[in-house]
Amino acid sequence: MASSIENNNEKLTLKSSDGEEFLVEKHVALQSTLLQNMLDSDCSSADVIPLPKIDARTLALVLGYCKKHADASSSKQGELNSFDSEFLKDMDMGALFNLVLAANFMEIKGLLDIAAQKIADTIKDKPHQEVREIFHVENDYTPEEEAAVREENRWAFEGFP
Amino acid sequence: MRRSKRKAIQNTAAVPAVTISDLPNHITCDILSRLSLNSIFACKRVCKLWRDLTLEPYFAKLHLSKSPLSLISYRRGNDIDNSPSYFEILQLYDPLVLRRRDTTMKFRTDIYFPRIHMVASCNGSILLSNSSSDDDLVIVVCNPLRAQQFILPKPPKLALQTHKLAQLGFGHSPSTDQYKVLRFTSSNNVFKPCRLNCEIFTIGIDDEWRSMGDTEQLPALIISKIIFLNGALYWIGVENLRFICYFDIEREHFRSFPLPSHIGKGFVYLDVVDNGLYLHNWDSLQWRFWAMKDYGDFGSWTLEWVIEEPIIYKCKGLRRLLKTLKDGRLLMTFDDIRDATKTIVASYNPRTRVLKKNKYHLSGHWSGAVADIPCFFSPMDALK
Repeated sequence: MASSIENNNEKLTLKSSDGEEFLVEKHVALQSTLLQNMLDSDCSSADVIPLPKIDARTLALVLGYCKKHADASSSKQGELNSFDSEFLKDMDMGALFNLVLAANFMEIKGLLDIAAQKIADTIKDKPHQEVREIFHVENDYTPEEEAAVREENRWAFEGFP
Repeated sequence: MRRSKRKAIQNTAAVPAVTISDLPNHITCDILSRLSLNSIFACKRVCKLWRDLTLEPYFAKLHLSKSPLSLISYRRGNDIDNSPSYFEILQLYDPLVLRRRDTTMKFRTDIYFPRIHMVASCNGSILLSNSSSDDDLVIVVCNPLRAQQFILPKPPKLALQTHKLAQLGFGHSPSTDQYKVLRFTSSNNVFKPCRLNCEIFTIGIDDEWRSMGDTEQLPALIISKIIFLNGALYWIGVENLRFICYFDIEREHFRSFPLPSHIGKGFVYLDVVDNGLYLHNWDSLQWRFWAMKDYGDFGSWTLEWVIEEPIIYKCKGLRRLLKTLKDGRLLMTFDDIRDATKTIVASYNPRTRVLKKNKYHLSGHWSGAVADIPCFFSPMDALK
């Protein structure tokens, strides 16, 4: 209901996959398009909104991001930018992927964007073996296929004098 | 410092519950599309899934939306020392980073014909031709990123000996997703110009070239490159007056409008900057740049920039305008006055009126480079 959305003091409860409950102000929750749509279509009558795919640690991070962005006025873009870069700075990869999945599920475009960029920055300029190592990606190429891809790519990496 | 940090990441992520392989495909596409070409091609070697994702239209679209304009050059190999032909791509990131040579990427191609060179580009695909008007005319479309190429059938033989000066155009219709190649021929006798003729070939549709009617109204001589923008081809034509001409790729019709007289006499050059159409001309004192202020209004040419006395910068032969940078500077390439085999990248600041040359010089084969965004969509996808 539109009238209830305008009421900033109203709160709702989100429940993580591991059973932890988070009391969230509505305007913070609205950073998530998923929650916004739920509230708009008045599915919020339930006391608790379960988020079965998101664990407590990740949800806490997500809500920290949402709170910062919901509270900051548009004039504080510079502050938000530095918050964003600090937010992901020392995060390990496992946590980062959980965050991406959560942002994707809850449809928080800004968070998905900075997290994807963070992963891209980690991949950037690294040879494929190192990317495999960092991200624990299994090499599923047969030696023949690998040779074929290498041949396809050969001129991408060998400089001319 | 960096090394130890990397180690820490590996240790803490030793047994991660969630890995990059758990991400939905559209997010992996998003991540890959943010990378430079070098990194994308490294990622193709990581695993089959990543390689396959780079061939998805979804990825191609994302990549196109995030990629910077690039210079694409073609170096023809030769059969004497067996040196290969290749495309070289220089991605023009903003802010401009052109200090290291390895910012370019090379793509080998089997395409080799005597005198073949780049003629045009469209959506990151390249039209190569030897520009012959005779039986040995070769026209090839290549997509360097997809390592695809297509040799077009030979256009019909020219009936008259006087029909010469073949020019090629290469364009795409976004609404039908069709790529078309046009060949114009006209008399080389300036004093008695005959009518312009045009043949057209749609890749993936036509088996042979079709002759275009509707060319009677067009100026018989083409005096500029034929460039592609927003579903149309543009060029400068001359018949007594100078005209800006265009061809609608989808509807296949021509139009031409006289250039206003306030654009100085002589040759004018046509370029695309930031999806807008620009004319430029110069003398020893000035380079002048005219923008089509209202796109589609062929009377709206407005003087946008003037660079005074370019000669003091030891540069001449402006090659092309590239784009405006975020800070308002205009990026361009021109020939080095001291070394004709070198191409210089420079930026012009309209506020301070200072033209600044980049220290990075591009060697020989860049002089014919095209400016385009390399793209994983390919005209050859229509050939199945």
